[in-house]
Amino acid sequence: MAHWTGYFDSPGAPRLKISIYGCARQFSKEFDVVVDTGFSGFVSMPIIEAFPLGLILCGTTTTILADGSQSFKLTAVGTAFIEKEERAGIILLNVGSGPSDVLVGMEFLKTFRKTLFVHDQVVALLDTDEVNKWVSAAALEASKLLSTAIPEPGLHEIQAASLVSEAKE
Amino acid sequence: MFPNRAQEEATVVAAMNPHLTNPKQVAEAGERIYAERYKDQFERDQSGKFAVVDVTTGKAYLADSAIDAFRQAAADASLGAFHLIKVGSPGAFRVGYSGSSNGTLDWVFR
Repeated sequence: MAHWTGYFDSPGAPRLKISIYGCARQFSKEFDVVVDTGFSGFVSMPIIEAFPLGLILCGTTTTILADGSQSFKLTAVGTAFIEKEERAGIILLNVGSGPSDVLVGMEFLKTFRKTLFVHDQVVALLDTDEVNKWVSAAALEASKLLSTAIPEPGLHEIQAASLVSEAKE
Repeated sequence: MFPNRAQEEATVVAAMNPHLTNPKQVAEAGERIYAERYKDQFERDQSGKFAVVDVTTGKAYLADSAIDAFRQAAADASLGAFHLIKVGSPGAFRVGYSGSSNGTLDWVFR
């Protein structure tokens, strides 16, 4: 699996280019999507963008807005892809409310098994499995460093601990 | 859960209303059926999963992801009218925005 590179737009939001389609790949279109970690779903888009993609309308759902209120949304099934990786998911359709941008959320990252990495001018989506390997290796390295930095208790420390214990008894 | 069979049947018949043609009715029927028939049981032992309620039959389909719950429902009832719920949560998805100048509700649900 590949790493994906995105960019920051002028207001500072991380963006990524992905393609989306519904019933057939020939209707796919590329979008500059915002990677929105405050959105727990897969993809959200204005319905006007969804028509040409042939998304398959599948029903309704309830969303929780940032102020805690609830709002119904139409849902569709669609497939997102970047390069050779593609996954299907539930797409929220905005019909007159919500953002005008296409958003990808936490479910998108989970489904594609990607970890969002943002730093300075860098937006990268790294393979979660590889990130887990790095984290495990780093944790192992850190524990080795700690074990060498903290000396084993010497005879004096053991004797002192023993005296304290006896005094308590 | 229903106190008696008659009330359960009445609820299902109401859900199977042939005039159920607009999204607001589907969403409201889905929420009502879920609350009346499944909420207590699912929240006890299926919390965090996704449930798709077919409001034409009152049947619910459970899965770990929203897309899998929908796939199950569509495979069983291709002509169903579906409402998606996350078990134990007031909404299936959280979004990072609140109301705009157009309000918080899409016009199809007004």
